[in-house]
Amino acid sequence: MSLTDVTTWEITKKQYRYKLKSYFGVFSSLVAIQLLAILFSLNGTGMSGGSSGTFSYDVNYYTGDIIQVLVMIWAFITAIIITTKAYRYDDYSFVTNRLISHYSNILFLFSASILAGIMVFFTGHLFRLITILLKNTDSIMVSELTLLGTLKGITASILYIFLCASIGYFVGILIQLNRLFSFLLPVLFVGALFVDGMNNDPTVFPSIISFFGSENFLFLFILKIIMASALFYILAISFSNRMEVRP
Amino acid sequence: MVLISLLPILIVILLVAGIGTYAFKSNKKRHRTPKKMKWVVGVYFILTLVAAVLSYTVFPAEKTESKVISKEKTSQHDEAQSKIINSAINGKLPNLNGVFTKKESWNFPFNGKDLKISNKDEQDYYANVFVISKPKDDGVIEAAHYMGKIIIDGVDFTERKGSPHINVNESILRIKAPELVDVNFTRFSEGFAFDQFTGRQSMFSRSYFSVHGNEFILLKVPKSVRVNGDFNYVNAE
Repeated sequence: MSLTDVTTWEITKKQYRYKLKSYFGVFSSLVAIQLLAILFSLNGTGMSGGSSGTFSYDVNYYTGDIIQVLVMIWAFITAIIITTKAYRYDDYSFVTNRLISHYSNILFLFSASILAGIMVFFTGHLFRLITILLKNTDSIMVSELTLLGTLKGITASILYIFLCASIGYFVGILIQLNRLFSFLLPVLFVGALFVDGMNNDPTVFPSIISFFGSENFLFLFILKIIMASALFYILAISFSNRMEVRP
Repeated sequence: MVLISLLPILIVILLVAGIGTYAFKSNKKRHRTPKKMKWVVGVYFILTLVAAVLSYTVFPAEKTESKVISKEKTSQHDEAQSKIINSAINGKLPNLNGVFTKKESWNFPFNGKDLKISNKDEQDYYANVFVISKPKDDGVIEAAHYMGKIIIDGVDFTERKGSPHINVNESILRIKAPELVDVNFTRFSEGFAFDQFTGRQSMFSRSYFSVHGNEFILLKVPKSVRVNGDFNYVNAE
């Protein structure tokens, strides 16, 4: 019998605070990945050109797509890493159970996604500044966002990152359940990409991406991401119940 | 083929996985955040903040939001220009309705009976020449250069292109090509997550569109002048 009553939420908060401090390494890897993304983006993401009589033009396109995608991959990897045994066992320095551990992990991933999403926006500006200083062009055209557009963009960016984190968390739990998945899942993924693109007309993966990417209503987009992420977390939590108990 | 196109993606994933795992695990072993790591993250965050402020203030690149012409409008300009040119080739010059704007005009005193238009092709310049016969003999050749909009990926570059050089000498009207214009510009966008809810092109419909701007030279010649060369007579509607 304990002299003090602690609620699930209190332990979750404690664990979450501990994880924010202890897992600080994820943010240094985020910095490294964003710098890498800037480097990859410097070459531009597209170009077009043409001429007609005495007029010719070259347009170079620079987008923050690479920064966003690499940060999404980072979130996926980070979520896998925190499901590994070493990290799971850390949680037992607290009075805890599996569910609390999952809750604090999800809270941590959500916080990391928020910070990463905001940093995607600011890194986009750093990238733009570097390009302005390096490029020698007649003019640089920027489609400036309104404040509302910026807020919507940052929200979307955070949600995309959080979705990838939830997929990573699910994959991580599967791998912890059976090591065979660490081999099977990449093979299945690459194989599916290969099969889907065999007749040069991929349909499955574009449909999945389009389900989120073609949604123009922010509310519906938020709903889709929350539902999909919740599904992955619920699956991860229910699969983790099959894992062995810590000795 | 598919595997080759997937290779760069796989390399990037492996790279990100490597960096992520190394940075995360090397920190985790210590169980507390080293000061150096905090500094790196802090300095980077401040750097990006400063970059955002600078890119909004000190380096305000030409902002296009108010000037961007939509794909639909661009295609409307293209169609309207072609329609007028085709109609003029068939002898009727319709109302220009702002589709073409007069960029430059000239008046040449002319008392001869025959006017030859020099071969434009020699100069690699292909503006159509339309001729209107004036109802009277006023001894003046009026020339005007009309230009349709040049739109490259939503940005209007019509002002950049100059008019040809036209002169009349010994009953020959010579058209010299304008100076070459080479436009080189860079466009920025924050990325697909930011474009998705701002009415811009989504990641699945990004396409680059342009209209190169039709142009023509309209000559109004005195009633009795006979014109030779590569041109079309037109009646203004």
